[in-house]
Amino acid sequence: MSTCRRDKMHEDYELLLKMTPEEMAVRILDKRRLLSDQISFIKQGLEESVDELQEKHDKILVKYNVSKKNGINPEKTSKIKDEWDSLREELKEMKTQLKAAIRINDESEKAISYWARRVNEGTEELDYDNPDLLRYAKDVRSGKISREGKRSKQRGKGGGKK
Amino acid sequence: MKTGRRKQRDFLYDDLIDLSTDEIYAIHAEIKNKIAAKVKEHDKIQQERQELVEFNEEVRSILMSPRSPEINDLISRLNIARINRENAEKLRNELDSRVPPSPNDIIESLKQRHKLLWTISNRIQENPTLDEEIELFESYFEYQAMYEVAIQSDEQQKIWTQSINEKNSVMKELRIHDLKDIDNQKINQLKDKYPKKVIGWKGVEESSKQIIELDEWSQSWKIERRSLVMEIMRLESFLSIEGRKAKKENLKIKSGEVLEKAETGESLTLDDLSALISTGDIGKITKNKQNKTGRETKNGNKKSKRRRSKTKRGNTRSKNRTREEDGND
Repeated sequence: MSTCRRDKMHEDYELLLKMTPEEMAVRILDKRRLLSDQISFIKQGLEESVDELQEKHDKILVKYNVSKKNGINPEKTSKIKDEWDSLREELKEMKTQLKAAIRINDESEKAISYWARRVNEGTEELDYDNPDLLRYAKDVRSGKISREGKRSKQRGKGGGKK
Repeated sequence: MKTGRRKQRDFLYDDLIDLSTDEIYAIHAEIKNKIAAKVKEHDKIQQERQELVEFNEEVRSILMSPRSPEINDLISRLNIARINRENAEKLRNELDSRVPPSPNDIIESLKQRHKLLWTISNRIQENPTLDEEIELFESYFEYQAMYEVAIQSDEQQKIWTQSINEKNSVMKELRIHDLKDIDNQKINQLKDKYPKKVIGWKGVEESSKQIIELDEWSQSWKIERRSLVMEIMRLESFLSIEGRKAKKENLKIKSGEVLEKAETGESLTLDDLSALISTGDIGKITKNKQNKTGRETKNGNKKSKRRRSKTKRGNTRSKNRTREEDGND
C-alpha cells in the first residue's frame, strides 16, 4: 500500500473515531434543515415526473395490448413489451422516491425540532421518551457486552471472530 | 453425478421392507457385536492414553526440575511464556465475546453509518427516517466504543503469539540440554519403568503425538457410535411395528373363529372376548344377534326411560321462557 493511500486511510479512521456526538448532532440538524428547504421542490418535481411517466405507461400498455391481440407482428410486440417493461421499472422507482419524499416532508418538522433539542440540551436522557443516546457506548466502555455481542451469543457464535 | 454415494431413503424403513425378520435380527446382532468390539477397543485406547499421559508427566517433572542456572533460567522463561499465553488467551476471549467484530469490520460499519448520517443521498429513499437516524446515531457511538475494545483484543492476540514464539524458542534450547545435569538414578528409574520409551524431550514429543492420534480416534468413534446406536434404534422400532402388525393379524384370525363359536351358541372364554374387543369385532355379535331375533330385540334392549313419579320443586316450565333461558337458540 502506498504511503499516500495509507495516510488518507489514517485520516479517515481519525475522522470516524474522533467524531463527537455534539458534532454529529449539529451536522444532522443542518442536513435536516437543508432537506426541509428543498424537499417541497423535490416532491413537486417527483409528482410531475410520476404523472408524466404514468401517462406514457398507460399509452404504451394500450399499444401493447392491441399489438398482442392482433398478433400480426410479433417482433413489434416484443419491442413494445421491452419498452413497457423499462417504463414500468422507471415508474416504480419514481413512485418509491415520491413516497420517500412525502415521508421526509411529513416528518421534517418533527426531526428538526428533535435534533435542535439534542443540540441545545445534549445527548443525555432528556425525559422518558428521549433516553440517553450514548447509553450503549457507555455500556461497552464500562465493560458490559455490546449489542452485537449479545446477538452473536444468541446465534450461538459468541466470541467467534477474526 | 457420483454413483458411489449411499442411496438416500425415501422414508425411514424402505430398505427393510423387503428383508425377512430373521435377516433384520441378523443385522441388529451384527451392529451390536461391532459396537461391543469397538467399546473394548476404546477402553484399551483410553488405558493406553492414560499410560502415555503418566509417562509424559513423569518425564516432564524431571526435565523441568531445577538443574544448572542456565537451564533454570530457561525453565522460568518457559513458565512465564505459558502464564502470559494463558492470560492473553483468557482476556482475548473475554474481549471477543463482548465485542465480536474485528477492528476492520467496525471501521467499515462506522463508514456506512457516517455516510447515512452525514450526507444527503441523491436517491431520496435512502435517506433514513427519524427513528432510523436515532438508531444510527446510537450505534455509531457504540461502534466507536467497540473499536477500543477490539483493539485491546488484538493486543492480547499479539501477546499470545509472542508467548507461543517464546515457548518454541525456549523449547528448542531446552532440547539441546535434554538430560544434562539430571540425576542418573532418576533417569535409570524411568528407564526401568518404561523400557521401550526414549527418556527425554524426544520421548515426550512422541508420546504427545500419540495422544493426539488416540484422541482423534476417540472423536471419530464417538461420531460412529452415535450413528450405529441410531441404526439399532431404527431396526428395533421397525421390528416392533412388524410385531404389532403380526399380533393384530393373529387376533383377526382368532376373532373369526370366536365369531363362528358365538353364532353356533358355544360359550366364550375371557380370551375369546379379549380377541373380539381388540379387533373391534365385538359389535358383529350384537349385529348378528339383532338380525336373528328381529322384532323381539327391537325394544328388548332398550332401557326403560319411565320417570319416577316424584314431585319436583321449583318453577314450572312455562311457554314464556326467554331465548337466553333456552340457551341453545
